[in-house]
Amino acid sequence: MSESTVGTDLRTLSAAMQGDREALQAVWRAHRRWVAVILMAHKPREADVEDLLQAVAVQLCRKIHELREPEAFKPWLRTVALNAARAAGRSTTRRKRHTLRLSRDPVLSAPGTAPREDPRDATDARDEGARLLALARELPESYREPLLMRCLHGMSYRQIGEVLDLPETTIETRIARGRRMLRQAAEADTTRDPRDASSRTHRQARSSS
Amino acid sequence: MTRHAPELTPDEHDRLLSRIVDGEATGADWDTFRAVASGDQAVWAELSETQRTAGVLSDALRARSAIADTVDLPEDFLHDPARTQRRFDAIGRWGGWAAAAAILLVWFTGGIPAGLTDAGPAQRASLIPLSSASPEQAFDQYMHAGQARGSVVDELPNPVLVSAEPLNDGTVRVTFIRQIVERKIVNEVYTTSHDELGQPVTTPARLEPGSTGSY
Repeated sequence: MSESTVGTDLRTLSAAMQGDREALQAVWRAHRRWVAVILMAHKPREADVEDLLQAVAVQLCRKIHELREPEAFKPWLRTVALNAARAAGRSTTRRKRHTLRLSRDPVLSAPGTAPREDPRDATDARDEGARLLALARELPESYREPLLMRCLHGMSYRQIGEVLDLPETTIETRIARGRRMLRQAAEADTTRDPRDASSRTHRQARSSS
Repeated sequence: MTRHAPELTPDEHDRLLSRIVDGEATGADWDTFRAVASGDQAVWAELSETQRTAGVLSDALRARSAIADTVDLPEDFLHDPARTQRRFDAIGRWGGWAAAAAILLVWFTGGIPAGLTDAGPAQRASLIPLSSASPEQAFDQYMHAGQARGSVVDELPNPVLVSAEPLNDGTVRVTFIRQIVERKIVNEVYTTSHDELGQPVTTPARLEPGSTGSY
């Protein structure tokens, strides 16, 4: 992965911590992709990644000068992202409690035929990438984060370890286990609902034609 | 030459596949993999499926994380950090944007507190000429008249917060949507969906008497 998508050098980071606005902009641009991944790993389904990124950007501006060591920057930024995602989760829970939902399809919403809550039924879940992403988001947190970060091509075990504040060997093991868990979840998911298998076969046939 | 399939623990097995998928496998890793595969052909399929899953997931994630490239730091911070910091401080009194939104949602949960409207309870029920009514009084009249005629069901208790803008005096200007549930008799109900080409199509909804759709 290029430098611009993973991190910045310590000199730029130090300048940003001391109030250099251009350096801060460079720091944000270098890290915002993996911040988006952290948000996607933790946000509630309804929350918008763009909104949460803006919240993280504001916190970055407000608080970066409080950091003492540049080495602590990545774990700190991850914590900011986690907090933003969790705050969105709390407000989503509160809204759900009081919001009347109008059903989209009056035929399906007749008594006894209410649509079930299933991530695969979402419009974007028709494509397999969305389905795998939904399944990955259901993995335990300790596997979900490194696996998704690794999916940003080229982010090394070491770089992921810097963000999560864990040794490389732990990161490697978690990614490997996460992949197996995801593979098994995808197999179980396909077995559970043959619609997916048939639709995937159809898609593959269509794309290869 | 006959290779002996090495005994790998599940973790070692997972790591081996993972390294190959990541392009991090060494020559020794490949030797181990070939040895394992010589005793169990199914491991090839396992590797293939792991690679395919990783590729599909990567594509999906990269497409969705691309939105990050459009989110920059607040423009006014870059041009006038001192002023922006003052605004942040004002927001800070509410515990940040997210907390401010959450507080407002809780505050609105029971509906607009009576004390915050122009009209008291007694006034709300009475009819005031619209030309001299305040917006809140006019709104109350609309609600009462609509409920009496059956065209208004109720107002949902939680307005949707659109924005919360801190002002220099420390107050916050909120913009929100009041949600009114109305009822109307119509001749037809249509649903919208998409055809196989993704084009929006409108079709009449088949609602039978007794099948109480949620509309």
